[in-house]
Amino acid sequence: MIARLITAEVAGLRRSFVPWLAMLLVVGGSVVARILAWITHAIGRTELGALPFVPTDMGWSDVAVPLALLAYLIVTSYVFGRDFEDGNTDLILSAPVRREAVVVARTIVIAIGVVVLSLAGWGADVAMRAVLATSPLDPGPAISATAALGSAIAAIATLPLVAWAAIRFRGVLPALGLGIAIQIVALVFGGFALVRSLPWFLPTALARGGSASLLGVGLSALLFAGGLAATVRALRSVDLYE
Amino acid sequence: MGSPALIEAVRLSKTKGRRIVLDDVTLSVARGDFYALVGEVGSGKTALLRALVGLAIPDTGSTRIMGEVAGPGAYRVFERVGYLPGDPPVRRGLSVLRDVEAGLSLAGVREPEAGRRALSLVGIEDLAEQPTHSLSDDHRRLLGMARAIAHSPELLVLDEPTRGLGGVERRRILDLLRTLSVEREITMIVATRVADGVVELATRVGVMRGGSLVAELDREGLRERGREHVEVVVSDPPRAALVLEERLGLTDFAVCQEHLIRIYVPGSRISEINSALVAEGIDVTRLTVNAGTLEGLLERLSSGEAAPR
Repeated sequence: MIARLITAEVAGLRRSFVPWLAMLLVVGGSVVARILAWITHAIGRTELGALPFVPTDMGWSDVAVPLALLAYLIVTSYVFGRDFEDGNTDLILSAPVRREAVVVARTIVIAIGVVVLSLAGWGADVAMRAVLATSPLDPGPAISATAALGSAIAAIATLPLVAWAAIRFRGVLPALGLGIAIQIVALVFGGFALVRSLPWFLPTALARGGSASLLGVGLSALLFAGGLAATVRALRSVDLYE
Repeated sequence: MGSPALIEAVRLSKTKGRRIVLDDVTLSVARGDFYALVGEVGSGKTALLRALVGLAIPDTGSTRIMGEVAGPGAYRVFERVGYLPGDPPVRRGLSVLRDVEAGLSLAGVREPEAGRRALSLVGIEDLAEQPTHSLSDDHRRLLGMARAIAHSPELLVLDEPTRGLGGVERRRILDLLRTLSVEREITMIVATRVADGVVELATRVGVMRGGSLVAELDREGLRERGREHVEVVVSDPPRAALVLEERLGLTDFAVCQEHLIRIYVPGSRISEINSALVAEGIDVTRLTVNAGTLEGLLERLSSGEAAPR
């Protein structure tokens, strides 16, 4: 049943623009991040001080990681919320499949998509570094791989929460809004020790050479399990009375 | 009747805010029935169908479908149930045929020609390779119908299958419903508007108004109630009945709710009836002739002009 659902999900996504938009954000984010890192290191910070929108301490992780997380958010919100926008909820809920299986299949599709996107983003980063690396301060392939992996894990850990919002509030935008709001809060309050353990902050921490704390990993696992249960519950209690 | 119910609702009620969506609805559809559910827009037909298949959650009451309590746990029944929503959705990015086949795949049907055959039955086999997003509303409805019948269900739950269809398509769907009901003995519950032609095929008709099931009629009842008759609302029904029998020699009448008497006579006798009742001092507050068409009867029942029983 799960395999059939995955096939149907992939078929639905294949002709959508959303996976391509996500790819553009992840790969484009890596490329732009490298260019910014090259500018800040090669040209020099003093000359950049006067440029608007380019902080003097702009680093690779400040661009690539948030864009990748945004891409994963878009994919998750779309996969779980589009049925409500297209009016297709009837189709999925009147199919002879368990609603739990729908959630699991979609989670698997998104998780695979996130891993593929992360690899693409990391590949783009490695290629750009080969061309533009100018400073030993630039994050090397190992760090960018860790960040890509961290982003992927963070995205996968938090996707059930976004999926829950898409089902609970019946649409793509509420879920996207919630995800972005949480990310912003996590980034703004990232200086506080406890916040650093939140799944949303893990990728940035990893990209900056930090490590994931046990608390962070635990919270991610907890969020994933709790979010998945909440998503299943939300889908089971969808009430299409008219 | 007599066969076990394939789908049933017991004392179903639902409110949304201050609006009563369903009001104490009890309904049972036995194997082989063709049950038409008629009512005006907003009468609760769609909500009832959705509750019956487990897509809507009632506040009180229960629904069973194919012997199981309707809801998320009864997902397997959809292997044997075809459902057409009121506004049939499409799977975007797929062709019409792939859309039907995607549904078949989820239902575990591996028969390669099932999708094409369903399209052919509803008359849109020519559109098989067309992308679903380019379909007109009519064709979306036909695609929805193809999806509902593709896996050869035992029970069809259809929400206005002929709504908005042109003459040819409408005729085709009505013929298809007749074939499925009579030849393949598929049980059906179909929400419809009175003029859509579906009630002509029905073995039973339920009339909904304001969230309530106000009347249920079988073929015999439809024929009976559909006859030309005079409806009269009087101050004293027992005395009026006596007058009708003794002074006018009428026996084919029924005393209904709320001082209403339905007299099965040609409309031309209306003034004679009025005069006789008034002469006996009985107040006549309403006197109407009903021409006696099935459509007319159901429209009057749906709008509340005619008394349910």
